[in-house]
Amino acid sequence: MTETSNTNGELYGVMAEFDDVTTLCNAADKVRDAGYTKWDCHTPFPVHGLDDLMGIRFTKLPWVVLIMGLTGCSLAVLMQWWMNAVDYPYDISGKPQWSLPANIPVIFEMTVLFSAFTAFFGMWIANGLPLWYSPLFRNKRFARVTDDKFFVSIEATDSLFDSAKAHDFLSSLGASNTEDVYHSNETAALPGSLKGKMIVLACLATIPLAMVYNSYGKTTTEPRVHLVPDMDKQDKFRAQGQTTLFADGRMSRAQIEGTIAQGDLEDYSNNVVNAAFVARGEERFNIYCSVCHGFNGQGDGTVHRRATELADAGHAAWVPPADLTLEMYADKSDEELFSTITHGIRTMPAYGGQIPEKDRWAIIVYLRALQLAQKGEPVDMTGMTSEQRGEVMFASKSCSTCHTVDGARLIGPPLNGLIGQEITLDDDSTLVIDDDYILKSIANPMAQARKGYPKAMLEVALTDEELTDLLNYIKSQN
Amino acid sequence: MTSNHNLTLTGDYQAGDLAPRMKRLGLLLAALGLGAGAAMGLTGDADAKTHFWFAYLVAFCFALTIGLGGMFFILIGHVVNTHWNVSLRRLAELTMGALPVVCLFGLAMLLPFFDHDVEIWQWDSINSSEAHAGENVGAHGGDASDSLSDKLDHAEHEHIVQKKAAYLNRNGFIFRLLGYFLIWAWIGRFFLSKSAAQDTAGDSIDNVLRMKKVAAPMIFVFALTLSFAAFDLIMSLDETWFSTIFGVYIFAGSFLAANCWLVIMSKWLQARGKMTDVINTEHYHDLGKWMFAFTFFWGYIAFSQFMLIWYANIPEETHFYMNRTLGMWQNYSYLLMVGAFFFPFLALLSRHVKRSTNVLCGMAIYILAMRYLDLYWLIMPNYHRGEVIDNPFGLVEISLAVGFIGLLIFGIARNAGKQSLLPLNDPLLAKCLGHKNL
Repeated sequence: MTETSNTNGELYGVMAEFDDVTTLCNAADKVRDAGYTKWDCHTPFPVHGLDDLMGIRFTKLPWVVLIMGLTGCSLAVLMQWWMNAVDYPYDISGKPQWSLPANIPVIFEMTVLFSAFTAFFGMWIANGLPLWYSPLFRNKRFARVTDDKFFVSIEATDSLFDSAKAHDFLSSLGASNTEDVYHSNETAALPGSLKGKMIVLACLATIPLAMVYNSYGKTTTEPRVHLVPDMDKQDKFRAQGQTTLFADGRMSRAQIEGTIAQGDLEDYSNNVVNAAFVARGEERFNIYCSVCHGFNGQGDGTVHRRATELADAGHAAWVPPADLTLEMYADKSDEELFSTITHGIRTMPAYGGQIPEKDRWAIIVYLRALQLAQKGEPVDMTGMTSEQRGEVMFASKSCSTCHTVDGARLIGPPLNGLIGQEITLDDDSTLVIDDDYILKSIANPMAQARKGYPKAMLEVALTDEELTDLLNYIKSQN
Repeated sequence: MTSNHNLTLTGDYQAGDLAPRMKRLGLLLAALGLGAGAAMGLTGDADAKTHFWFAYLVAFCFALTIGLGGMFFILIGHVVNTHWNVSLRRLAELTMGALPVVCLFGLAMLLPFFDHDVEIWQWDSINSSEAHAGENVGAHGGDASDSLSDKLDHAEHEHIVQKKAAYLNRNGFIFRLLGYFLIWAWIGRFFLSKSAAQDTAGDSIDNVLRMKKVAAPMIFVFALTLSFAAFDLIMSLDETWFSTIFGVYIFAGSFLAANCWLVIMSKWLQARGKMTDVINTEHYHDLGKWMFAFTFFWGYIAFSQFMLIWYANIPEETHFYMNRTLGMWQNYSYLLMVGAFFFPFLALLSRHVKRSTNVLCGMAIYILAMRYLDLYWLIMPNYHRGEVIDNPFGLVEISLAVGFIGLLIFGIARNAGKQSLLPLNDPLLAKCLGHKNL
């Protein structure tokens, strides 16, 4: 930094150089007494007591810190109360949703955080930091303030300032040198070309934001952008994935022969079925199954009833849960039911992760008891006409869960007046219903599904004779 | 490091005739306090005797923690080579030098072991009832059948105590207690004598260097002995309960108590014309900062202990707090929370409180009272454990506390006259006297 007269602007103030701390302290005392207010001392190291000599008042910062600390404290209480008790109340083991002891660590942290930030940044603000530049830096002598010299500077903006007087005054205090210090006369404004460039850059900088905004909520057929590919595509083995690591190319490994997985040691196929086991099954059934299948297993659980109400009000289609007391479920093997509970079926989710293996067997045992207990009276079909037998089957094979014969719509289409009716199929083709279509629809329900109905019908295994009876019954309702 | 050649000390730093006066005062307080306490407590029935010994333990621990806090004040000062506390160092040395007197009377706590009417540490009676199966345990061990801790299955309770018997047994307890007392007595003796020797050592600073060298390992010894003494004397009163932070809890209270004690002691001496020019506002300010910091640290540790137990909610831990929220103990708990934490914390926040020495001295007396309350809250609920009882606090407690403060004063006075009250020749003394808080 060269100091040449043609770059000097306005007078900044007078700077005095001192050789030792004692002279400086003495000078500081005198400058304060002289009544100057816009002046400062500059030392290579902190000098204890200098602030007293300079007459600097004790900082008010502690009060600000106290207030901000209390603010942090209150905010922490408020935040946790609002999160835990108001916005997202969550019942954990019946504990209170908002409890002060649990909040204290966060209250403590927030109080400290607010206090510390206020103290730190408040100190900066109070001291006018960060100070990037001072005209004193233009003076070569001033560089020694970081080495072995002490300086007092009196600014020209001080109301008592008079350059000549200040020089004399500071010299009389033992200054080894006094000098005028000038502002630079170079303008501090930014060059016009730089301004233009910055405006262009600022505009360019909005492009990525605009792109993000544009893509926000848009559907796309392109693969999504992976910002953190390591996270999205992890080097890990997935159950159904491929690998070259093993000879058979599969990631999932078969259980090693002669070993047993943790928790699999017990062989549940030999469960002792006793009252306690059934009671356990009942308890588990009531917890996990009854919400949909009902306490009696008849498929009239709370969820079903509510969903039916909603479906009736036109909100959504609803596939009713199975009436487990029906013969078709009674006929299913234990293993099939076990598989259904474990893996789920159609809209029923898998419960294997929630219900331990032993409990699943207990549920099946209880279900068998339910089925046995609710088996209706056997119907004597001797002497019945084909239509009458069909009517019995219509009720017992659960057709009536979804279909009516009085024109009312349940889940499926009403079955009265079918023959000769022209209907629209799912693929928008039209078709006139005949015997063949009815039989095919019972055997393979979804092959030619009708438009406007949920694809919910299950296959019903019937003998040819039973099919004929059912067909005759449906036709009789034409 | 240089000695203080150019330092001119003009004040009065000799205890002089104050020492015998302090001695007489201490003896008088001790005799009156302990005598009155014993007259009230030991002449009654088994229940009154038990109450007496619990109150005795509180008073002993109160004096003990002040002395131990003084010890930490010395050790940490040497380890970090601090200069601000040099003019206070001899007072802290005298305080920890009083430990042998306090501990000697603390040994009286072994007497209940040999009195069948009294049961202080119940693991002892469980151990001995196991040894003499069928013998009746303790005075009120039998009739406290509906207390919370007894709801632990009795057999299970005994099982836990048996598992701990390798540590919690009478001989081991006595042996460890003697061990702690001897170690503390030695540390006190060592630092006081080395420091006193430095007063007349001229230019040599060997004594100071030696103290600094010994102080570092002694920090470990101090931490271990204080923690285990806390486990033995206080935590084992509730023989199934445990808290690994307990030693730190007692330490926090100790150091806080010692700083308060030093403030009071300095004010007391200065009122009698001693040390007037060497302990100034800056030193009180620093003691006040320690008081503030350790009020908070104690609260922090107390809450750390509480929150983990509260959150985990395991019966074998929670009964400690259950016992202290039963009946009137709940009032003590709230009083402790507000009186020992919130009030002094807020009061000592201010720089002006810490720098106005009379107010600070008032706070010191108040905090010492809270230190007593803290120990009372830790120890006393084990008397009639888990039962809802009337507030047991009364004249016995007050007499015994006065008695042990008397012992502490006597213990200090015993050494006070033997050397100056100021480490005259400490190389950091000049720096200490010029010390200034920013």
